[in-house]
Amino acid sequence: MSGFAVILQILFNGIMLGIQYSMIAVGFTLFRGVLNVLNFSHGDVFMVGAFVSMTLIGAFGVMSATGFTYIGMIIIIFLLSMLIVGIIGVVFERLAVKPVSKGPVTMSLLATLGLGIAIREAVRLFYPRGGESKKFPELFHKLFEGTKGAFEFSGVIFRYENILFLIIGVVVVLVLAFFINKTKMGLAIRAVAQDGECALMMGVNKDLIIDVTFLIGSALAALAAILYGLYYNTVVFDMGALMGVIGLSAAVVGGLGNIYGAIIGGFVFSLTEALSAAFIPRGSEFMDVVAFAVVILFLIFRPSGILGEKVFERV
Amino acid sequence: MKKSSFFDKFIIALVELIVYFYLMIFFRIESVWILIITILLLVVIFYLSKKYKKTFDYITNIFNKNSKFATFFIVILLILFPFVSKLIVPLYIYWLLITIQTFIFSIVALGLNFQAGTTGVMNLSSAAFYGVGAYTAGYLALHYKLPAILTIPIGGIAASIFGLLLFIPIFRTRGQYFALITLAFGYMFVLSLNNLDFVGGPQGLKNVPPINLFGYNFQKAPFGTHFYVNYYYFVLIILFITLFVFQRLYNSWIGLTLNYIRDDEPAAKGCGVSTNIWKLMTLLIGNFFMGVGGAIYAHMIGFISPPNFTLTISLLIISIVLLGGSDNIIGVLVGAFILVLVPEKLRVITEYRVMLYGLLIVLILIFRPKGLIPFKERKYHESIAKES
Repeated sequence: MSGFAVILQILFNGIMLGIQYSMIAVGFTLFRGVLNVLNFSHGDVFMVGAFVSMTLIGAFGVMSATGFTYIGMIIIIFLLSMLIVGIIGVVFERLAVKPVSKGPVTMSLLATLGLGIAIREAVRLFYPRGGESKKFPELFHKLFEGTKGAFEFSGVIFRYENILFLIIGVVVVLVLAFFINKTKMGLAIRAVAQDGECALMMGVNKDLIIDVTFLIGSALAALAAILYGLYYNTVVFDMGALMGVIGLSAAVVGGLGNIYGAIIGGFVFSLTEALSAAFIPRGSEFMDVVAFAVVILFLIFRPSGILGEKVFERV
Repeated sequence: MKKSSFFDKFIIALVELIVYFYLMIFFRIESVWILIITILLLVVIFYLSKKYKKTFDYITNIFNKNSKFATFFIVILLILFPFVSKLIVPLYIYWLLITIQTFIFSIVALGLNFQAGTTGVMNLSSAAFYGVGAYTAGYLALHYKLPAILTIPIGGIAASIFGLLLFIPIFRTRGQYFALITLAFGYMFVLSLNNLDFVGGPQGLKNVPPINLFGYNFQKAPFGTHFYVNYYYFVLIILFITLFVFQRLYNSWIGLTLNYIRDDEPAAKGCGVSTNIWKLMTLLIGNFFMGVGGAIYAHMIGFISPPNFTLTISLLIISIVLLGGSDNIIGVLVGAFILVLVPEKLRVITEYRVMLYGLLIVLILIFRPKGLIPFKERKYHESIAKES
């Protein structure tokens, strides 16, 4: 492979991961906006998303369907698992996240860490054979039946499936941006994020907005989980822990509170991983270490992130 | 002030003996029922303490007045523990081991309490520092044949030095951002351990030699008991030293300064407290004791591997601090007792233990954010009055 091809391959791999990271990071940013918590259980909600969608795929029997029913079922699976996980996220928010959000931020951070562990262990114990790593079923393979399933560009192989992920990612970002910036609900979310009490006085139903935000954030995590499952083909009950920290780190790198920042942060993190895997000796083993080191550097030298505004402490 | 009478001391001894022998019965009875009975008993005591507040206050007052005697009596009871438990509890070796582990976790949690409770430096990678101590001691003992008298302090110092890696973050970030950095730090530590070959990678370090103190091998069983008895006394001594150090630090002007930093950092800065230096100091001191705890663990168990030092363990240590009541030394001991020792009774549901830890953290923070024994406000006029 030529040098260009190597770079292209690394970039492509990084972008595939970046889509998943940014979707989780967006959740963190949204929650932080409306509730002022760093919700660490989000990573485990992501993991629940993978298990829910896996169960749904098994239940619907997509494998046997063809034609329009096949595409319809894929869409139903996507929407249904996003809805279910969204509702699960709202339930957790009501039960645990909102009650602790009034205390000091470090305490709510701890509480959500504990909640995450509880979710993780619950899946391990109560999902049938939940302690083992599961094979995630294929979903798109019939769409590309008859074709080669991939094309080559200057020495790098692009799978159609991955191109589809890319398209899904871009569409989701556009829809989200439209929702936040152009709709009334999005306006309310931004209002609550800016000043909760003031929004209340203006007639915004704050509790409803918090619920909606958690619904959206958790649904995005579910989408990320499906993409993760399809990309790696395996899911484990404890994958959410690392993913949660990565998602939060990405959100912080981009600038907490800024949705575009979260997306950029996701790509920064994934590209750091991909580049360190490629260029540092034994990099694939240490890629997360390098990526976390980058995050720590960011936190030290630019704690407000790439796009975040500088915040001064009010005394 | 009236001199404390013999009667007061008798009551103290009685209360402590009741608790002590109840504990023995708790160890002796195998079934889970004893745990349920204990919880019911505690609820009843809690209820009674509300109803008969005067009597209860009287007893606590006695304890406060005769704190020296109370401590002295507890120390005697603890020293006798291996022998008394041998008479009463059939499985006393097992419970001795669990007690030692409780003590080790108490040492580590006291270190964390100093950081998170007293100073408000939320360190989420305590297991990493605990692991640094364990790995340093294990590595030095295995490859350089250093005696334990050296490896244990070196383990502590290594954990402190490792904490120095965080010195820029602690200068530049605060609160949740620092917590996030330590979280990432903990992950980096475990990921690195798994991939570094000289510390055994995922297999960890095996056959760490036992403690050999001035020619006395801890593997020898004294007085026809078990060799854990050696470790019991050793850990007990270290625990007392730790308690002494932190008690003195807390009651000194240093403790007050650190509380000030926790409660209002900008104000502390405004009053001329060099907050950065103090926060770094707490990190170093706390880490030292975490490292010591890890080093003892490595020598006692003889086998350490990366899963012993993951985020779950960090959370266990934090929940010890939170459950007992942060910034409260007695609270930390109670927390360690509840979270390390009591779950051993729940062997039936051992699968669910980690999940229960998680739920417990959430429930404590929702319903009792200050812990079971909340810290008391400092009262200076009383102590001054007592001295004069």
